[in-house]
Amino acid sequence: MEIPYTVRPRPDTGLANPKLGIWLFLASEVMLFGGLFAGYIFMRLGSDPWMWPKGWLNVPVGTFNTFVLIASSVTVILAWESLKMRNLKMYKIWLFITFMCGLLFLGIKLSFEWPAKFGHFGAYIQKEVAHKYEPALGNEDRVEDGKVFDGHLKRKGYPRLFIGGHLTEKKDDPYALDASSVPFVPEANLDAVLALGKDEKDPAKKAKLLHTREVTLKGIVVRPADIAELNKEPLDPAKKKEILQRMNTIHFHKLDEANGRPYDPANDRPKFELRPQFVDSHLVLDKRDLIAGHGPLVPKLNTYLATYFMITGLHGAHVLAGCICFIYFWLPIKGGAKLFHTNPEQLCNRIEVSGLFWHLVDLIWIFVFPIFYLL
Amino acid sequence: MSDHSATVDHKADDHGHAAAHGSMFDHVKVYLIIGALLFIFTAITVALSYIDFDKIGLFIWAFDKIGVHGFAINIVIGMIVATFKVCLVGAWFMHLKQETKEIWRPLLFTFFFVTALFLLFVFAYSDPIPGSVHWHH
Repeated sequence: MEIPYTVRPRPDTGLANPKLGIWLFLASEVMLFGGLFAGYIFMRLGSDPWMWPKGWLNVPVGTFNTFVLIASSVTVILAWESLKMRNLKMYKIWLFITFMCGLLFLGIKLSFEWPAKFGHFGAYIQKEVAHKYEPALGNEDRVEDGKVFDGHLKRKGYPRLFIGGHLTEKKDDPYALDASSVPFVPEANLDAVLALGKDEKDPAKKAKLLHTREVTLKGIVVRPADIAELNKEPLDPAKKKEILQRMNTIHFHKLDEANGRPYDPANDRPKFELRPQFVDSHLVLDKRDLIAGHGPLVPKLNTYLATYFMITGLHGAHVLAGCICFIYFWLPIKGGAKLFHTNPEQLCNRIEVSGLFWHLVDLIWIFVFPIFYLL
Repeated sequence: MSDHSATVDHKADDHGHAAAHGSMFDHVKVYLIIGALLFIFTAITVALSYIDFDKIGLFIWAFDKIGVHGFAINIVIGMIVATFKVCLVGAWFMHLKQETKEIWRPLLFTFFFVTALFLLFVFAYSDPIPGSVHWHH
């Protein structure tokens, strides 16, 4: 069956069918991405200021990818113009460059940008040791009213973030952690520790008991003095907080894997581990200075990355689709470059239609780039 | 004179397209200029993101008029540049500039609906069923 009006305009619409078809398709694509962007706007406006990270993505790489995509938009239209001028050689050259640009864009995304985010961890620094890192901290995002102390750990002199991390302090409770930003609540774990030795009055025996419960409290060292302190009636909240703090920062990472740290990269993503991060040429982030450990920022923990992966993922799928179309039209097959010899105008329309799709992909990226990388 | 027009006609028949070669080269020039503009404006977008507009008096004053404060000024400016770039791509690369009303008509609907979609968040700030929305702030 021959598809009608692939070259000549249809009398009632005045357009060739593919042209009208692709525009209707593009309209639906705009609505598809529009929905995702609307979701982005909603989540961005609804999130607390310190919850929306800035500078997690590599701007030079993102800019390079933007240039690649714009260049491919130019080359695809040059391929179309070459066809209009019936220059098969130039058509093939320009279309191949377009195809390679698409592949380069995807290659950078898949080999560098996404993996970098899969291995990205958030770090929460203790307030008392923040001064150690102060020389390397660029706290431009700090909220000055004292309610929330929020800073990004970044390399000094570099405007961009080095590792993702938040210093969270609330005025009424200096160590309160926002449950939505931290994957576990330390308090609950302490209660679990205390519940274990609840009926044991002798601190030494209790410590021994805790020590022997390898399954639940693997390797944790609870000092007898602390146990005694925690069993005092009434318990001094400041003391409890101090012990809790020490336990969390020094020993928390040794708690039971399954219950203690469900989001520990070692459990959640075995391929990754937290390595000391160089935040300055002289400064190394000490693991013990972390307020409550660290969590991999996979989509389930992070709205920003969930949105980022969704939108850039769908966009990437479109780039792939475009590449497949281009290589099909480039290859010397019946529906591809061979069509030039039988019906060049139809091939021309095919390139125009796939080119329009490609421009839409470029157009979407023009919005994606600033909203995720820059703003 | 008649010879010349005959040549042009012959070319058009031969190539199945009415446009003469000269105008094709003009098109290529336009595409390259638009491509260069897109490159330049991408660089401008990146450069603008390093400027804190909420620390510049003139911008604070001007954006205050439309109720935009703080970092939102950067977002609005970034979006304006992005929209400009999108218009360049749409008008020249996608040939919307010379498209017929058959193309424009459905697009106007798309524009209307997508704008409505972007403004949906406004409903989040109203509370149609009193007491059903709980804010942390």
